[in-house]
Amino acid sequence: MNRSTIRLNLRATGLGAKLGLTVFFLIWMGIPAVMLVFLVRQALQTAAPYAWPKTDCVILDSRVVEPGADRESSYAFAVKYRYTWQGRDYTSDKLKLRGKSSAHYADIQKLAERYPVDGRAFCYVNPAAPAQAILQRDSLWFLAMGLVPLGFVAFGALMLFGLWRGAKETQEQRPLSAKPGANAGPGCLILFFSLFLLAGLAATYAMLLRPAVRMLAARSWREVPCVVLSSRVVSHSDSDGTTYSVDVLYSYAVDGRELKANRYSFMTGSTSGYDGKAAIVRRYPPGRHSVCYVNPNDPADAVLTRDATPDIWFGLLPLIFVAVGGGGMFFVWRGARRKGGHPLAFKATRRSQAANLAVAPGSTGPVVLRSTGKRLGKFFGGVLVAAFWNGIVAVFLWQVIKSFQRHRPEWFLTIFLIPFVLIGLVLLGVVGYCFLQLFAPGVKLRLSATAVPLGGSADLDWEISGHASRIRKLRIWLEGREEATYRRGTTTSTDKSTFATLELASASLWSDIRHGRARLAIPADTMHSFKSDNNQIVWTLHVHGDIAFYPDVKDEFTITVLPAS
Amino acid sequence: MNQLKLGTRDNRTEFRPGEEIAGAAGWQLDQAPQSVEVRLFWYTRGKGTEDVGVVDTVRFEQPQREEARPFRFVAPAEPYSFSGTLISLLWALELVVQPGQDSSRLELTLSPTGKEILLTK
Repeated sequence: MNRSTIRLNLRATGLGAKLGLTVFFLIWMGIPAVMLVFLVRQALQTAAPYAWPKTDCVILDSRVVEPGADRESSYAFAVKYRYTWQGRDYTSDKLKLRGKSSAHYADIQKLAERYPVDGRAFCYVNPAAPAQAILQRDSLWFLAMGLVPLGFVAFGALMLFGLWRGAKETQEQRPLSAKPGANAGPGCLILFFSLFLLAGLAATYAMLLRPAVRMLAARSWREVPCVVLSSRVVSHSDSDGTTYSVDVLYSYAVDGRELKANRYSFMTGSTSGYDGKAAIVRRYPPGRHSVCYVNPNDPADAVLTRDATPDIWFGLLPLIFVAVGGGGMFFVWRGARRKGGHPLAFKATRRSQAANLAVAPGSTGPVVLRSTGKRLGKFFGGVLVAAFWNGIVAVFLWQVIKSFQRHRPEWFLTIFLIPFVLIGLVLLGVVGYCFLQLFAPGVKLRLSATAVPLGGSADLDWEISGHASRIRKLRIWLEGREEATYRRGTTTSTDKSTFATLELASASLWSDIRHGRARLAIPADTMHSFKSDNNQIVWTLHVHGDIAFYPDVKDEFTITVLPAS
Repeated sequence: MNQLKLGTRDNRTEFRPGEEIAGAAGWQLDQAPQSVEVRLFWYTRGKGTEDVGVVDTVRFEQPQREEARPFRFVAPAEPYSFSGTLISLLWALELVVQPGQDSSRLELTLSPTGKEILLTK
């Protein structure tokens, strides 16, 4: 005999829900699919020069073009070269298909050094249009960006496949005990969360780790005098608004060689907040003599300050993606492992560990249950949810406030945002309530057995700590309830229904409230604790203390009721 | 056309934990099967998404196209058969032939009394 336990979810989704989910996943796949189409088009254009023939060319002009007075231009490489194709001379000024500009002077300077005037180089000629030539072929690494939309499309396609293949199998009336292959297995979810993790890790590396490593490395760089040539705050505008970065161009000499650089610090990118950048620019006016730090292995690599700038804190933001991705993968993996099957004989022990029973596995009791940890958990959980929700809403709320400050109110966004702000306020209210509950009288229960069998009994001692005298009335009862979790469309709901309520104690005198004892007897003709993926029978001890003008004591502790011994 | 039959000794369908669940499985198939097995499992019905737990399997070695074989299980300690407002839990034996989707099912109840536990307020 092969003894094992397999837990399976069988989807009994109706046609309406299936159509709704199909539309949802088609929309889910739509935007990344469009991105993929553009990416493929771009890839075809970028890859074309890899088939172009290579020929000799002579550099006629090569220099760094510094930005004008406007705030938005960056450093560019101007090049001109002559080449011969099938006996005819041509000139081109293209470095790559998409040109070359950079926020870093050193990048462009290196190109100018690589292609000196009158120097010889190779260029790639378009045989179909010989007047078109380039010195460098664009990298195809950008195709890696396609993994993100590809992941979203793959996830949506898998869900659709599972949805409709599942329907087909249901029609065929497969054995009830058979393992369905149509459900979205842990693999899909792990793939989904791995995208978050990879994106978070990549962004954390770029925004936090790489700058931090370079800052440490720069501790041993050479200290060299430099002169500021120009300084400005550069604006970067897009549909999300305007961000700013510092551009201080300075010159310095290394081993008799005159060089220029414009790196202020190792933090890359741009952030909001103009004033901080303007203050830096004011500190480095043109003509100012200062000190810069030069990489001894690459003299063109220099930086004006090797200390951490406040921007580095933005590097912590991608850790949210790392946490969501990593946490999601862990919980999916753990869930799949639990489904992997433990003999039912082990189930009672496993449930004891999962329930609010502060006992070592295998022990029989007594067990102490405390309210403190649960209340702290509720409070910090509430803080996390409220911070997450209000953090996102605040971004849009800030846009609304700015639009009012500009006297050009964004009415649509304002009205759209009202329900989200209200939910945020309710969440803050919940956090406040949970915070007050932390200071309400504490509950400590002592049950004489870890788990109570059907038809069995146990002694229950209670003790109220803190300001127990504030409680006007105390009630303790045991509740048995069903909990059924089901999916409707894309939402998951859990319905609860109480089937047993056993009163254990009721007290209104302070001395009786502070501590006491009750006998907990489980009827023999009811159902023991049971837990599967979507359905469970839960037995809980409830303690309710009525306090005037303050959040009541409301604590719930899960206990394990075993089958009859 | 394939024919599958599943029965318990004395046609019993009510069992207590630890009792023997014995019976026989018979089949007449159009072609020789790859595998034939009897599974003992529970499943839920009701408002919640259905859960299934296969707790034991008897796999018949070298099954022929037409045959009858005995099987035997020990009724597990839990979970009990019950019926509540939101959830019902049922036990069943299922004869499964592969390849294909052919199966035959026999519902059982498992509890200390042999009857389904009713969860009423």
